[in-house]
Amino acid sequence: MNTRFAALAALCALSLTGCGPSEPKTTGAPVNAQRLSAAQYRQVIADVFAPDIKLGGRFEPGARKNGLLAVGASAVSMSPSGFEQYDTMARTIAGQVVDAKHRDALVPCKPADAKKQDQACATATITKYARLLFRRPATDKEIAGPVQLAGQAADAKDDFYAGLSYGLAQLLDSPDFIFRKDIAETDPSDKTKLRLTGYSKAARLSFFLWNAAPDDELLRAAQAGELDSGSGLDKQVDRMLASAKLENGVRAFFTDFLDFDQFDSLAKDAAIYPVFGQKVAHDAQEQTLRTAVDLLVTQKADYRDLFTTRKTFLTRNLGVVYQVPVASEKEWEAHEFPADDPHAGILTQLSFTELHSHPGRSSSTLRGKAVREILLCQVVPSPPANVNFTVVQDTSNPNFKTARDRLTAHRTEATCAGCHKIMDPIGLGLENFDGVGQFRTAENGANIDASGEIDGIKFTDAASLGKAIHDNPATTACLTNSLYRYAVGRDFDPGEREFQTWLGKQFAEKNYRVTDLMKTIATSDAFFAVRAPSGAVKEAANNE
Amino acid sequence: MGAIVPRTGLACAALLAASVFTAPAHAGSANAAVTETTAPKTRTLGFAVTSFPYAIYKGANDCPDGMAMAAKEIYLAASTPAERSRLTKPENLKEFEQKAYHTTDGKDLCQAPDYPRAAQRTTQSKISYGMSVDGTDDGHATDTTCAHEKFTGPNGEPAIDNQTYRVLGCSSNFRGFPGEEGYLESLRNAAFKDGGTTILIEVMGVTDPKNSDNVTVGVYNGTSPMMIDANGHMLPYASLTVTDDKKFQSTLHGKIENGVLTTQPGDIAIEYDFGGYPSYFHFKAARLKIQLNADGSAKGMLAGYLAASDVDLTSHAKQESAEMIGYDCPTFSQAVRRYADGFKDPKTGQCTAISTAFNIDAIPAFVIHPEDSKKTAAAAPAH
Repeated sequence: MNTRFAALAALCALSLTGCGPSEPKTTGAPVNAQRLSAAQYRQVIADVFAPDIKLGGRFEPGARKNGLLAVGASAVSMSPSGFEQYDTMARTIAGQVVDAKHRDALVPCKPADAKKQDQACATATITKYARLLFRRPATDKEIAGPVQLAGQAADAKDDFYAGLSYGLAQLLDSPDFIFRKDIAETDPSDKTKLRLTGYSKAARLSFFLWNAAPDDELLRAAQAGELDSGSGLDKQVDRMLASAKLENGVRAFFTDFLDFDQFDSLAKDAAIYPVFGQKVAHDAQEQTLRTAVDLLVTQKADYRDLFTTRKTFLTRNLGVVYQVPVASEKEWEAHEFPADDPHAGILTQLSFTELHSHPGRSSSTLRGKAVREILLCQVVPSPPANVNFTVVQDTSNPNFKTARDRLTAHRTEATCAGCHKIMDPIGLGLENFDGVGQFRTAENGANIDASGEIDGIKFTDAASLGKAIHDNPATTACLTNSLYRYAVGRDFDPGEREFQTWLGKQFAEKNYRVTDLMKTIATSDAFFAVRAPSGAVKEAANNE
Repeated sequence: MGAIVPRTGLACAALLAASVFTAPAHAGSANAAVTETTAPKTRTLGFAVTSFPYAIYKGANDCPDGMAMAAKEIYLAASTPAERSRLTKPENLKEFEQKAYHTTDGKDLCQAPDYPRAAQRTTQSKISYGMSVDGTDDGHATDTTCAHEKFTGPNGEPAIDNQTYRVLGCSSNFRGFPGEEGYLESLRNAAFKDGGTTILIEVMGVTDPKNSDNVTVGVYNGTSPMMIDANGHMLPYASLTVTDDKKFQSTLHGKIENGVLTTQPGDIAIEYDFGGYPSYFHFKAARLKIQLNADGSAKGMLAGYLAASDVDLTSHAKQESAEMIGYDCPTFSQAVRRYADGFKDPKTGQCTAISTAFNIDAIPAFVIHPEDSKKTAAAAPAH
């Protein structure tokens, strides 16, 4: 080998981003605030206090924006009734933190007299938890309010701990806890620009990689300014990627990416699909998440294999639907469908086939739409308001026994044909799975033809459809774009177009390993880049 | 330890549309079939029983004298009209029950199996479900059996032995009212759905689900409750674990001809839930005849002898409770002993078991042996 070439290859191997073009400069995006998701809120409470702390309330629904709840979280506010729920949860949580079962472990000091207020102990407690809940040290003013409230309530109730619960509840009611607020500061290397504070960087990292608040080590690194240096950031990102908490982060992304929030309202007609129930619905989501975590985190395999893998995990609830044995009575069990089995890839898993169906029948259109919109990030126009669905919905019409027959008849209407031809051929490839995801070879006595084509690639069945998705360039581009948008909680900024292309190339260079893409994103300049909207500098100054 | 054989998709479905194939944990031949390609491939079929009632034939004139009487009815029949009138007044109920439920010396009737009673009303039907299990054409006594009258099967099958039907055939608890299942039968069958009873059947060494010369049949209690669908029906294709109590793991040998499984006689022990109480059937010389259906279900019969003590449960009861379900304890107990026809005690000459037949309905299931069910998903990501 040419010596110069060998040296170059060695350098490439050592380089984080390979020898392609370095990361393009971006303009950054305005600072952002995202409401904690229900899963994030639960995780933070479990991490900061204890896993057995119960929440005792419900969350306002999130808003999905351009395919992601994480992006919608930057656009949601809070309704008065929603705040009542948060306040109920705050009081419930705070009450448990100071109760007899938890106070010795969770309250860092003992009051001189448990029947009176104790400002020192209240201050120590509020200070400790404000840092963990706000994901930064609280200001004196932010501490003083809850401490004062704790004292007044302790006097009124003749009980230090009862009073302290009011102070803690005030922290939990704070927008600084419920919302992840980016805080920017003047960039010391370029006074004309802003950068995120170390604590904001820490929060962005931890919610992206762990779907949880920063731990003590990450807050320490933030305080020490280590996240502002490439080596310090690399060290923390490597630590976080090696942590077991990474699984939480990957699960959270795929829960959002695959629209699993729709399971909350998923219903099936019990007369048609009696096998469906809440346990099946729950386990169906979990099956896909376990498949993804095993493939992408444990095996560090190619993301595209998610659409072809025959390895998965099952419970007995799922075994009934898939009609395969599950030996383990209570545990999840690794399972590999044989090479001639129709199940291959997540498109053939219940989480996809039953979620993207009607309550009483399968839907090639919904499934095709889901592939286009969720997995390929393409936009399918909404149907016109005056569509006649009669032919499609009547599964008992002897002239149109299969979904293919019905959709072919439906597509004869010119207003429908345009959109259906980009959805139905994909969904028809999954027609061997009924509305609850059970395999079938016929519908109404007629054999099902599951062949079709997607973007010029022909397939014969669900397994070869999965291979076509595997090979479709839009599949990896969609994952790249979605993961970055999920990480930053917003859509791409016009100033990030070059970066977007570069990120896709990085993903390909890393053989489409998702954890490597997560590292590329987490260590990129773009991930933290902000620019100044009016008022942001002032806010930053106020918080310094 | 046997491996689980995954579903093989369309090939399997075509062979026997919905039967379930599992490899047993303990059957060497089936294990070898899984791992050795040169030997004939064998499969295992699994079933979960959904209904297991006594096979009660319901002819039009089976009980010309009426249904078997309970203690109150017997007491009133033996009383004068004036006494009948007095005792049936509500204010005298306590006295009536005290007298009807007890022997003249005050013992609960269920603790007095030999208390003098007229013979129980039994079915007069000449037709019964069941099989010939005594080896005779006419029911004559042998060294091991007692003389009894044979039945003819509904389709003309000769020499049917089913003395249990003779005893139970005019009991409303078993016969039921027209169009209904008997109360005790419904109680016992409800336990399948309620999770109290799981009975599994495993047919091993199947070379062809239609015709296999030599199969081994396991009949087991299961520890997993049946899985129930959204409409309250038992779900096919559930994975259900076999008990690790060897007493309730029985093995028979048999064959499949034209889709009908038949076995040689053998002993089978089954534990079942009976109104919340564990109860037992100890079948002797039991044999199965089961149609294996194309949809994976199975329907057939278990016939043989049942220990008399498993049919006559009166010693565990009080007459007050037996009355509610239409029994007179001594009458029933004496009837069971009178009609017992098998497993003669050579010392006393009394037969200790009674010929019987049970209907079986079953759905496809994956039969999981206990050593396999304890596997954990070592490869599964922690969560």
